[in-house]
Amino acid sequence: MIPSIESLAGFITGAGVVLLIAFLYFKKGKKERRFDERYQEVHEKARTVSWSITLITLMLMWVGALIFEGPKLAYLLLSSAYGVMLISYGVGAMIYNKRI
Amino acid sequence: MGLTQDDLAEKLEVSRQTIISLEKGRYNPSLTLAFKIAKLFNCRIEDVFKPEEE
Amino acid sequence: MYEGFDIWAFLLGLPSGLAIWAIVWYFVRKKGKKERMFDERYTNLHRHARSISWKVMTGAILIAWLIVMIVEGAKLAFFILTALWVIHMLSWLIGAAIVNKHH
Repeated sequence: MIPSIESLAGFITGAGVVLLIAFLYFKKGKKERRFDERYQEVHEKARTVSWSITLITLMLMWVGALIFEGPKLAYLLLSSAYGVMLISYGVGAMIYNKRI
Repeated sequence: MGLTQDDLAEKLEVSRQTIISLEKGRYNPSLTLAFKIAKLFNCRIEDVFKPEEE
Repeated sequence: MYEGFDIWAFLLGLPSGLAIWAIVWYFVRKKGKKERMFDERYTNLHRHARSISWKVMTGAILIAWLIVMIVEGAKLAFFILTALWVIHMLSWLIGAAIVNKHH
């Protein structure tokens, strides 16, 4: 399919809006010392939970895509996403193991 | 006290790797673990751990 | 449904994969417990690693999304990635809200 200019334009506009909001949020938060050690711990735990949920979702979708469509784009992308997730986890654990 | 890393790990209920890391000053223990260590050696936390210099 | 997909081979492979995984997991767990491997440093370390992996995944989904949009347009892969993105973000937000209350 030819990439639609509209969808790309929408994608870029959306990303721009998110970046702007994030910038304002971080600027205000820094002033209020919002990103202290408690904040970091809360979000680290949240990301850990979210990581596990994403992994399970990915596995289910992967099986679903394989049965539904066969080894096509969706299946290949989900496989590589699964790989990225596990490899980045493994490398992260290795680096932290040396650091702490 | 003549404790090996293994003995210490067992008394503190952590792995030997954690003891190694603590000795090297790389791992920041939780307050719970810091209190356990201080209690085991009969001293205060400040006697075991030094605050990070800014 | 995909024609070349042999559901019986799949159903045979699935339990063997799960069984091997469970056996390995059981022995690692048993040995680790003996050596008090799963202490606070272990928890911290793996939480950090998953946190990093979560961030990498966020980037990966966005890149995959862009690729799909250019290569295939709004078909199965696109909707799957959209759903994945929503789940990825929602689980993080809900997780943060829950942990925030408990701490």
